[in-house]
Amino acid sequence: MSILQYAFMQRALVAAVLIGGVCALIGVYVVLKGLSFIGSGIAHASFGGVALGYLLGWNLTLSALGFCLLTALGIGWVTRRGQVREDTAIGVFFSSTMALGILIIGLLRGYNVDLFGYLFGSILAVTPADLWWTLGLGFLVVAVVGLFFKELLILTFDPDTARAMGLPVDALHYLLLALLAVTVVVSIKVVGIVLEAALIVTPAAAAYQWADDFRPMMAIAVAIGVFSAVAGLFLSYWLNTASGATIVLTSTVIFFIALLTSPKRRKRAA
Amino acid sequence: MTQNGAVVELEHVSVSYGPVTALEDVTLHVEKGEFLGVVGPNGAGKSTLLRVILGLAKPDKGVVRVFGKPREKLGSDVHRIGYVPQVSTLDLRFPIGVLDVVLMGRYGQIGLGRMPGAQDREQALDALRRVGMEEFKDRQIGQLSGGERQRVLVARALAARAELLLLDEPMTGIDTGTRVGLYDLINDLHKQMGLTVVLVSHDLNVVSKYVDKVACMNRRLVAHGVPKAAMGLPMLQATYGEGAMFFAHGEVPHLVVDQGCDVCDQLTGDCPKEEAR
Repeated sequence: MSILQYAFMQRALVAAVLIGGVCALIGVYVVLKGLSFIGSGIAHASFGGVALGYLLGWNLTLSALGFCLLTALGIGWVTRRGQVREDTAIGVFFSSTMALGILIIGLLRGYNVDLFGYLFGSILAVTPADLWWTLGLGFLVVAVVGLFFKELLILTFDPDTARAMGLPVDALHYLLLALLAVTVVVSIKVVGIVLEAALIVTPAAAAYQWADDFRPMMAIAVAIGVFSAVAGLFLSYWLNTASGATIVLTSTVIFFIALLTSPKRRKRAA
Repeated sequence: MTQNGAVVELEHVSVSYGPVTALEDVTLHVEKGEFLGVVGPNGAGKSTLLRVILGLAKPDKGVVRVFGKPREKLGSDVHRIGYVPQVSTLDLRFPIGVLDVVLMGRYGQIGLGRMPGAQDREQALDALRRVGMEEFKDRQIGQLSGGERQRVLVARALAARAELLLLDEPMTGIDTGTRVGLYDLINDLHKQMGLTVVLVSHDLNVVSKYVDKVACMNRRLVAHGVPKAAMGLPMLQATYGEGAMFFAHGEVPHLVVDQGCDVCDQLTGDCPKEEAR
């Protein structure tokens, strides 16, 4: 295809495939364990991390990563003490880290900060360095999921029994939150902070409608994630629309098709 | 004092969740090969008793020993405990098949980062055979009846090669006819495999037919002994409170009315409050 003669388009395509797949993979756990809100919270927290990185002159990916990890662990820690419900903790963290980001950006007046890119994504501006980060961190996420596949499965399905078996349930929960944080950071470039959660949740939510078993659900989710990222990218090019939003809306259309054609729906009606 | 052959020993165990006392000064021994039924009204600490043995709840006071070791120092012996949780704690729409659920019983013994092998699979299938559920191995768990689902959870405990089986209200949401089959299964496993069984239930009558001993709980251990002695009218009134009404019929009085809804399905077979939940 002629549009692929541009280097930026090739990079965008590779990034879309990688990120669409990795987000959907983690999304399966997010959907089954009911972590959608925390995913959204962590995504918003990355804004504070990016701003802090600008202020201190650090690598933006690393500072966002550190900030997201701290936020994920912070939410876990505050909730574990039992004084605060998890959704409350997320509510507090997600707005305060956003506020911190806005405050810092204010201090940086005059700097050329690509704020819009971080909020809404700029897949066409993916640099070769971005791509290496995506590749490395994406590989890390897939490797950890593969390594702890059975532990993450029982953590998601039956944490009480897992704990009774002597499995390190708390550590595994933090591991899952950390994986979510890494995934968020990897994919900010594509859809941005505001739309991030959709990239993670929507493909898995669609796959859930079609699959009766865990492994097929993962495979279908990854397929939907990759397909909507690629299809959304090309559509946005042809229609001259915002790429992040087009990708998210593509997967949303698939989600509604899944909802309407789900065997689960027919079973319930029968 | 460690008694010879005691699988579970609770000495003066108290547990509280914040201001709520769930267990108070409970001393209870379960001998190897014993089938113990634990009965009592809602909030009597029956589930907490299991959670203490499982290490899911920490006692504020007292000592818990399992297989002769303090609970927190159980180490690899933890695999000798098989847990059948209340079905209500599981998401029945979770996309997982019967065989995968049973294989989870093996997880504790496989080691981090490794997947179940052919031998684990064989043990899982063997466990499914023992509970008569082998033909359902590819079914998604939500597509099973309540009784079938309990059999799968029992199979998961068996797949772990558990010697001590802890069942938390296994008959909830299961119709009376199916219950008998399930009790028979648990009793057979207890007899054939020499399993030590602790079964929490509000099914007074049926429990009394199968168990060797019964513990009547109301935060404290009200009575503990063979069913006939422990489930006499005075003991049951102490367990369920003065407001509970029983009528004598056979050896164990039936519980007819209770302030809670815990045992209202004794005669009707279903509980109106449970449906509302």
